[in-house]
Amino acid sequence: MKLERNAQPGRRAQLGPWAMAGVLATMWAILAVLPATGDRFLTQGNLASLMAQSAVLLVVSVGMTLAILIRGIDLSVGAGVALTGVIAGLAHAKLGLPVPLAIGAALAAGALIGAWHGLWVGWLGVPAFIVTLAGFESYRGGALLLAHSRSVPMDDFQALDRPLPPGVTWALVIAVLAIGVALTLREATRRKQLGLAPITTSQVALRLGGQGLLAGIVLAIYGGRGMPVLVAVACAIALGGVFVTRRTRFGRHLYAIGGNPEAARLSGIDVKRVTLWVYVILGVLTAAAGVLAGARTDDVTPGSQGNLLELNAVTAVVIGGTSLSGGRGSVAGTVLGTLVFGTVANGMNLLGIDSDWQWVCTGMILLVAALVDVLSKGKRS
Amino acid sequence: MVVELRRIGKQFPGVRALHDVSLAIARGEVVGLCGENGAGKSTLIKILGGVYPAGSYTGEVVVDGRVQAFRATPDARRAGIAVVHQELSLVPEMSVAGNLVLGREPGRLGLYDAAATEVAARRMLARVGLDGVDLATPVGHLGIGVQQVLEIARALDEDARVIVLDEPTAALSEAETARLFALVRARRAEGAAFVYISHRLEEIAALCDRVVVLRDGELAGSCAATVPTRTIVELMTGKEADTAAAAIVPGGEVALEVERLCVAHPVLRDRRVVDELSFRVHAGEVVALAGAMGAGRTATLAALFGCARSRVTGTIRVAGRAVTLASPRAAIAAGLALVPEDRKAAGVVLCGSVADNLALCALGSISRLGVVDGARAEQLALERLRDLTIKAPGLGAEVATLSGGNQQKIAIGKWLPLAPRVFLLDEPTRGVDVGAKAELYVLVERLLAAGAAVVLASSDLPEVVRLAHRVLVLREGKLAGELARPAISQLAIMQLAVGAVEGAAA
Repeated sequence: MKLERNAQPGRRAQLGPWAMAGVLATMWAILAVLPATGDRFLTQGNLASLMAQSAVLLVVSVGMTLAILIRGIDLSVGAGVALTGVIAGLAHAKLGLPVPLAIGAALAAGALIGAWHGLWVGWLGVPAFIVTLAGFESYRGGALLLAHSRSVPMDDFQALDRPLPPGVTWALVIAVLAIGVALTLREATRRKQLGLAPITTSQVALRLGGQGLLAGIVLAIYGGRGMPVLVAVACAIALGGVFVTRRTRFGRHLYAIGGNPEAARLSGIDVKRVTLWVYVILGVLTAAAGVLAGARTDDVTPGSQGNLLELNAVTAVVIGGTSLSGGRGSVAGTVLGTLVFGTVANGMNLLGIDSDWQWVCTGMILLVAALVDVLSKGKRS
Repeated sequence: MVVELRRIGKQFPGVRALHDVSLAIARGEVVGLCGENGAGKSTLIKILGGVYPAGSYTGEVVVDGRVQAFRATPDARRAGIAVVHQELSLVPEMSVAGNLVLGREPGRLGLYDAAATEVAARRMLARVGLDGVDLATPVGHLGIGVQQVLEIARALDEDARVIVLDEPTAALSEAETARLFALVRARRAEGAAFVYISHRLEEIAALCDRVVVLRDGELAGSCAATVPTRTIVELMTGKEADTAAAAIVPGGEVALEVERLCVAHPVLRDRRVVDELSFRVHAGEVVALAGAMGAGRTATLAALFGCARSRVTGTIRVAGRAVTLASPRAAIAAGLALVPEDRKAAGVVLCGSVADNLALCALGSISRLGVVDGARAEQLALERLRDLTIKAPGLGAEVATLSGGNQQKIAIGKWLPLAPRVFLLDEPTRGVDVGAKAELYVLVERLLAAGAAVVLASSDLPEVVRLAHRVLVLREGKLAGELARPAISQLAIMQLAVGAVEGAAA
């Protein structure tokens, strides 16, 4: 999330992510206080399972954020998860490839699928909705054909679902925290170097404090038993997504294309190539999600694996404050959106409410998030 | 010789946009490019700027003696050609700084360097005298005039040797225009060449060394910029220009009466964009609102049409009856019609057909139980096409394919079935060529003759002088002075607008 700098008055904080952070904090607070859930919600085990449940959705949602930022969408990710899962499983079970190579095969297949989408959307100009709707149909069929409509075992991929040793977990979290601190301090010194209005000490402290708090929460959950590999992968992808969108030229170009494609083109941005890359990244992330989902469930059922995942991902992205009309939003928001999504399921489960209500509740949250987006837009003009 | 276009031809499906056009631009030269809309100016500069890639046109683009084959805009940029397009090519959601470096973001290895961006952005803003603008503000929050200057700042920063400015002053105030001219002259002294496209011939005369005129995709002529405007207009239109002023004298009853109109600033609570403005407009009369950008012209019209973005107070009477104009629906019912500033965004439905657009406001009267009488709609549209001399390939043609002048005729023509008492015209001839401008003026005079009143908001001073019976000059939302014929002149308006003299109520 962007912190407001006093050197730049008039900047309006993005309402969406902050509002959702508030919603998430409120949900957690309520679940921690309610007598029915109080003793079970804020436990290491429950939070760890919440994270593990959200990991697959998070991986896909980060990619979906990029697509939605450039006014695109991908409705094929659910079917893609099934297809790439089947490919990984069969490459190992039938072709005898070792697990890492089988994963590589699945990721390559994902990249190809993404490139295929990018070609249709970027070069042939067919709306992403249609291109990926076609994928939604055909990849599901492809998964069923490849697997002969039978479940594909993924037992040998289970290492992905096991925790890293606690020592490695600590090392990783501390390394990431160090990078975050270094980036923050570097920005502060660079601004001073270039003679720009400095970020105030309190703002630097606030940012560093936020990063420390996040690292602390992660260590509180996983410091003892170690972080499962799939959660670590999901976190890495989310952090990578935040970095790419905020700190790279490619990321800036996504916002430009989503905000005004014609202006982006006239400014010398290769819109087609960026579009292609977005769908390739999304395809690879879909494949990663396919492998992780398979590892979690021990097998891939081609007919049902990843069902509704595409719509859940869009929901998480929109709850996180990314505008479906493109150009506005953030990966950080998507992380929050995914956690809100996961918390609803987790909380209802703890409260013993029929899981069918979960859908109703998620739908309402989606509407509220969309309303926040519309209201903040209305304020702008 | 810096850049030479040799025998350029460009064909669109069914249309010959350019044929055998040659043009050479020397170091330190400012070349004015004139022509009616559709004459091929934009096509020519899109070829020069690499928007239309090599191979999609015939002829050669030569820079420093070498034939160029631009594949896309960055190639042209590398060759030293920068284009400021007429349509703003900024991203509204992105910050000022982000837009200024768009496509050329500083940083290594694909990383984005926010601090270096800020340094670069400050340098560019200082150059065009916009130091006060907040770098983090989304560009969409700024006025169109400021956005235009940002775009120019971006082009000037690249060490371009040929800079193409396509209608750069359409949205600029007189002061901003003067600053732009100073910038152009400074860069020219450093050896940069300019291609300057404008419909405002007085600007061409003031700034350019030479004028090149296109007509129907061909070179119509080239002459020194000092020739009389009339000569250039004749080259553009191929016929003798008609410059007769309106002769109708208003004497009708009061059509619109505005008392102490106030419009709050949309963001700053303690400021007003329109402050205690009172005026009357008679049937058959044109009252013009003049003043710099942000003086309150557009805000006044928006308030009258019930679409202001902030709180409005004051009394409004139409034909003597007090009305509450809370929405455009209410304003239309009271007999008002708005022809908005941004025709493409708000005046016409670009992707709709000519017939649909012309029938838009009449749908109530030509439908029964919600079912539109298609034949009646077509008849209505045909009538309008004839009496407004709208040039369109047919009733089914998409409005987006028509020239600006014809689009504007539709934006006005759609109201005619309702016979409004008061027309609110906001920049009615922005981006419209000289020939179509004259036709639009005739159209306005026909509205007056039919008994309508017109409130005209315009930054085009010759237009105000040509059309207005009275001029209200606004400054920072307040009435700075009023002029009536025959005291109306560009000089008098300018003096009031910039506060050079105290205005006397006429």
